Amino acid sequence: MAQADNKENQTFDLDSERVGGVYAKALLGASEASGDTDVVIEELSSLVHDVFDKSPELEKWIGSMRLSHEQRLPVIDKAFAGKMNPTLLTFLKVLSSKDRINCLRAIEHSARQLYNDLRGKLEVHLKTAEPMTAEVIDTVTNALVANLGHEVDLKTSVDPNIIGGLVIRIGDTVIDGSVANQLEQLRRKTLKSSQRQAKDALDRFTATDDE
Amino acid sequence: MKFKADEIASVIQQEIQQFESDVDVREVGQVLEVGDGIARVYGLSGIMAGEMVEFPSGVNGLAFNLEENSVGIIILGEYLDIKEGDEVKALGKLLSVPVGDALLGRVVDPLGNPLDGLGPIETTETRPVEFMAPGVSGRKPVHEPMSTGIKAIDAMTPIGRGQRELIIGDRKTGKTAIAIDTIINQKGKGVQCFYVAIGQKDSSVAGVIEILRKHGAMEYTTVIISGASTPAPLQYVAPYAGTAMAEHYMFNKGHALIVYDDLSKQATAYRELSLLMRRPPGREAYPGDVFYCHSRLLERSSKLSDALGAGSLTSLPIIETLEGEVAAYIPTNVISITDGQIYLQPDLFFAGQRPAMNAGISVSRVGGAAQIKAMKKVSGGLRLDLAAFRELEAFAQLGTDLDATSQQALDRGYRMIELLKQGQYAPYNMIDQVLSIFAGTRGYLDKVPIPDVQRWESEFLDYVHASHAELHANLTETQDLTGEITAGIIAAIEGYQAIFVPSDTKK
Repeated sequence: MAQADNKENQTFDLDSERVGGVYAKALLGASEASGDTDVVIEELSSLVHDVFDKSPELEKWIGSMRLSHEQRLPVIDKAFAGKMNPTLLTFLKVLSSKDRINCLRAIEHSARQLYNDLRGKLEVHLKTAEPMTAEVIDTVTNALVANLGHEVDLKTSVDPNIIGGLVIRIGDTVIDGSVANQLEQLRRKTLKSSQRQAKDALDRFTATDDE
Repeated sequence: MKFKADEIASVIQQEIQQFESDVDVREVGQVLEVGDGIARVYGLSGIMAGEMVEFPSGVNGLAFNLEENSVGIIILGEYLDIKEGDEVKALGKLLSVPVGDALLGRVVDPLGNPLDGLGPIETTETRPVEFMAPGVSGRKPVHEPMSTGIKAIDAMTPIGRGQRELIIGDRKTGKTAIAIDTIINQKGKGVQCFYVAIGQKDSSVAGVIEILRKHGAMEYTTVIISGASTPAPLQYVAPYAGTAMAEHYMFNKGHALIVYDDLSKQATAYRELSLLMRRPPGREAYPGDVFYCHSRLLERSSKLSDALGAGSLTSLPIIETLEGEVAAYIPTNVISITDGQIYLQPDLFFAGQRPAMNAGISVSRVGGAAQIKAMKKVSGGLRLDLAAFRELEAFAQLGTDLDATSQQALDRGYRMIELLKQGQYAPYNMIDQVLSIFAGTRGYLDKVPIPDVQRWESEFLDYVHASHAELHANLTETQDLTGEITAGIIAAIEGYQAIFVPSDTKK
């Protein structure tokens, strides 16, 4: 169960996360000023999740400390100029000049959180055993919005290990309605009560050989 | 023996039928790193200091350090099954242990899980492991004796119910022996005993349990073990857990005795944790709050006021010194916290004086208030006399001629030392102690050859039990040396002196 979560939040390096927070704040400030925050955030997410996730070599290469800013600059220009929001492109160049491209993932994570805070949205992770239909997602989203009183940024994932039901995560709070969790609860309860009953009346459970 | 499968199945079926599923709402985090009994966890943003958490393997932990981006957790159990990325669940409660009579006679770990194979411990009550000590208005002065059954201690450094008396000394000087004798002596006195073994060899703890069992002391004793092989977090928590179990009796108008064997190992475990958590090291690399670690523990031993039921919790912390170094950090800390100390010295131990208590620097700050009147009358001044004797003895070794008074003090001292020697697991009842110390301090032994003193004492006590039973009974009843009783004791001693035959070892 934990593995699936990992992929969503891979910022386990606390130092780069701290750096990420600072840069994300700066990026959001700049993009708010130019009024294209929505595009910047979307493009940044797509850069991390569509490009870097698919070619980890590129992420490693471009984030490498062995390249100088001068070496990286033409590559960034060639790859992204014209296709990318100018604020984001400038931001990437700034990162490159400070040798902080390797923190891009952390920056993306923090930026999305800040963006959600700014727009009053809550990030909610939803985990199910099988892929959900659009209708189900709609129902769940509406229910969440009604209960939380906030707009919801819904992230879904599939994990067959939970067998059935839903696991909803909002920040650090997990609402676990999965079948796996219920089975585990049942297992613990049964074990405890059988243990107690076995201690109270062992002879009820055992038979001597001559019986 | 066979198991009845259908009976077991019926129990399980019953459980399944009664099972009501509820949606589980929990606060979680993810393990960033784990090792050496601690874990660093990301998330758990709403957790409080000291709150319990649970790892997927079912092991519990305790939030120890709350940092800007992560939480330092001490793992109370097996930490090898925990992996990076594991989900950690906050339980929203403080660490607590089961308490109650079901624990008596049991051997448990610091979380209250049985280790003796005698089945689960069924209690209805639990108490938090960390609990604030009773305040000033909740207490009253210590006044009842908590007899150890050891002549040297009951006469010179008496311990009262609710007192904290430190037992300090080098390795192999009989520290644990004093604690064990004290536990054995509580038989039939309504005092529940708790022996907390911290960082000890499991073999020696097994030995202690065996001795307690053999002397019938396990009936009223709980042994809490966190051996040398258990991770540091459990060793750190063990004394608090034991105290929580003992407090149950104190707050329910009962009396309890707890032995921490030993607190220097607990301090070492705490140092290990703190260093791993990157708390700044101080003197001897102990963290800054190691004093508080011990003071908040020992402050929980107290004598409660009548309004709270007048229960008591007496503690006997043990500290092991290195090469007699009482000025080290932890010994000075604990000496300053406790209400007195029993200092055991290796040279006395090897000279055959057992218990090897140094009368000069052992004290009890509660003193006479914790003695019965008769004992107070016979033993007053004994400790100072013995300390003076030790000085005089050193001086006499120079070979100088001594005046008659000094010689007499020396003779008396040699006999008192002999009289205070006592075998292990042989606690004396208070009245017997009064009788033998009466004979010693009033000078009735001055003419008895030194090698005969111990024989004189044991035969004299037998004689009193046999021929002066009414004197014994009177003294037990009044607990005081009235004129009549004093005369009775003197008569008994003189009666016995007349028939005592010294052995002729002088040849």
